[in-house]
Amino acid sequence: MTAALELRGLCKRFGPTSILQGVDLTVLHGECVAVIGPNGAGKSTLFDTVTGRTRPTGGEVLLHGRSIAGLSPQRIRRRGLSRSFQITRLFDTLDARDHLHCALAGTAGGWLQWLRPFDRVARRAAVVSSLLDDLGLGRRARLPAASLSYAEQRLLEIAVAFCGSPTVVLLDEPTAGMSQDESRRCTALIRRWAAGRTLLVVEHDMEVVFGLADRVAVLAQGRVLAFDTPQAVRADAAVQAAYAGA
Amino acid sequence: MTPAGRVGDASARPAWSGRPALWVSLSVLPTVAACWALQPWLAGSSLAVSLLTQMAWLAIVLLANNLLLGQCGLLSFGHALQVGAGALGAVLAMRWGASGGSMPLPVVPLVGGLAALLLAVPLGFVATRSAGTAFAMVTLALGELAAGFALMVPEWFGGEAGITADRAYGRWWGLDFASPMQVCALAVVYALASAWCLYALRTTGLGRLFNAVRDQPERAAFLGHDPRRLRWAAYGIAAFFAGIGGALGAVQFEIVATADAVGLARSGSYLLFTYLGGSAHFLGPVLGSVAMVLAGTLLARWSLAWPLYLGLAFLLTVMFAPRGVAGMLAATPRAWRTLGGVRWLARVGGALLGGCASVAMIELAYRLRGDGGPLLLAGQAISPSSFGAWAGAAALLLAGALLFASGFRRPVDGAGP
Repeated sequence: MTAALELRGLCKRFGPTSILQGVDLTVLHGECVAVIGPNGAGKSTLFDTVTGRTRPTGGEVLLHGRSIAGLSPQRIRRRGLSRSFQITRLFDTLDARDHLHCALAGTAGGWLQWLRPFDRVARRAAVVSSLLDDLGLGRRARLPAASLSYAEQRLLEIAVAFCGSPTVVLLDEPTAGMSQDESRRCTALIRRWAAGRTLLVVEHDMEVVFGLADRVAVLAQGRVLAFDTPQAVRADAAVQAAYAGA
Repeated sequence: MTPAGRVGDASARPAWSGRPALWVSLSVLPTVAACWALQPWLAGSSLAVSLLTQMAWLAIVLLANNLLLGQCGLLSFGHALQVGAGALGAVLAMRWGASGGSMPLPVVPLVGGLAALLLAVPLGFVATRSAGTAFAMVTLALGELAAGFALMVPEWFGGEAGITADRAYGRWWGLDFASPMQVCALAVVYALASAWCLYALRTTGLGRLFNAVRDQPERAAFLGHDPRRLRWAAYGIAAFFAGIGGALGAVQFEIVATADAVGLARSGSYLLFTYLGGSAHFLGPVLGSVAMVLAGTLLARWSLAWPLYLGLAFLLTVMFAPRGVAGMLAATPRAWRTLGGVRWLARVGGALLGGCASVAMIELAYRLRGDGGPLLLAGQAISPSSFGAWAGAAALLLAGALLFASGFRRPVDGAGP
């Protein structure tokens, strides 16, 4: 099996502070990997560096064997790697429907499609309406995103990351701030949307981690401390020490 | 079919085939009707025709400015650069046409638009690297650079005196455009067409993406859209329409003083009146253009203190009505419902009364210095040093303030909403 996403000795320094100190991680096709680790372990920096938000100071990022390190976010997205944010970032004045259209239009079709209203692009209609059904917004799909509830905004944030057939999706704490019920529903949707895709998830909620992940990578002090099945990681002494020490 | 699906189908109606036409005609019908009703008066009044022409082409300029300001969140201090480029292009095109070139006057505005677009492509590339303060500063610098350059090379740009042209150099489709009325018609036709195009743009996917890049540029990038390219596209489109507007201005006045036309003062006033009209509403800039023309001509004739009124109007808009005149108008029905008619009337009436009293006091104070002669009110000269005049104005101000305050009191019997 080939790697969908491979990190080789990935480093990121901010001035004298070294956040990532040589991260090696290989995520296989169709696999779901959860990244866990104590606060300040570098999880968010890892995501930012992989998705092009910041440039790595060293090391390689390979997407399906091609290097993407140092590319702009939009080019990385067009190569098939997508992400969601820990703090919801939606277009406040756009409604859910427009969000999905924006996301779908980002990777497919040329300039001409942009000269038509979103709703008139017929080939996207089926995808958009099925996603809207998943979100269960009903008539609220026409409200500006800023007036949706927190959980609805979170779900939309994640749905948008899955639009436009990305092959690898990075989710940064998808269920953060959700109630237990909302979190379960969200996990089920992620599992459905992620079918056939490769997933990398930062998550604190262990129920979500064990519900989704095939393997768990433990990040501590800018390095991968352990990378194994959830059960094996739970039993790992080094991991327990890292959490206890943090 | 699921309820969500049905909602989707309903909203998939051709949202833009009917609505822009509706909106534009809604805005235009009163104008046309007013012109029709005032025709006998208009025909004899070259001032009215001139004002209407200016409003028409300024409406295009400000609508284009609002494509940047309202839709893309780009604060441009260099909008006049594109307007001036359009005007310069139009003057040169008219001169070329007059010297035997094949250049029908009705096409000249398009030439101006293309000239502005040509200039905006490289400049936009520089300016749109980032949004926010950097964009504002770069556009400011580009505008000042162009103004300085225009003064340095008077052979090309006409220097302080400007370049003149004669618009009546031929006859096309039975029109020679010698009369201001025909120029007015040309400007109105272009204004309607431009407004329709810009409204249609709002409803397209591109229009939505402009909003997306305004709200969260980084998120747009992570969806595969290049924020810079989108800003660049908006800059180019805005330049094209600004150029059309500027060209129509050049056709009307038959002159362009390039350094003046592209300078910061002009850019600032475009920005100010776009904001005053209301940048959150499509028709706000149209109201802004009406205000700009009235302020620049009628208000300037009526009072020497007009820049003061303009400054106050802008200040009050920023502080109390950030959505501009259009925002206030749009909020009126809701305010009427939630406040109740009496309280709403008290507030508006109080504000108007207080405003009149303030104007009276400003005018009186202005005349105390001996400028402008006596204050004429209903044919009666009022001396600025008389006690009665000041007492009357003060009483009016007090009455206005009391009326305004009464609009905030809760209804005693709870009859209000």
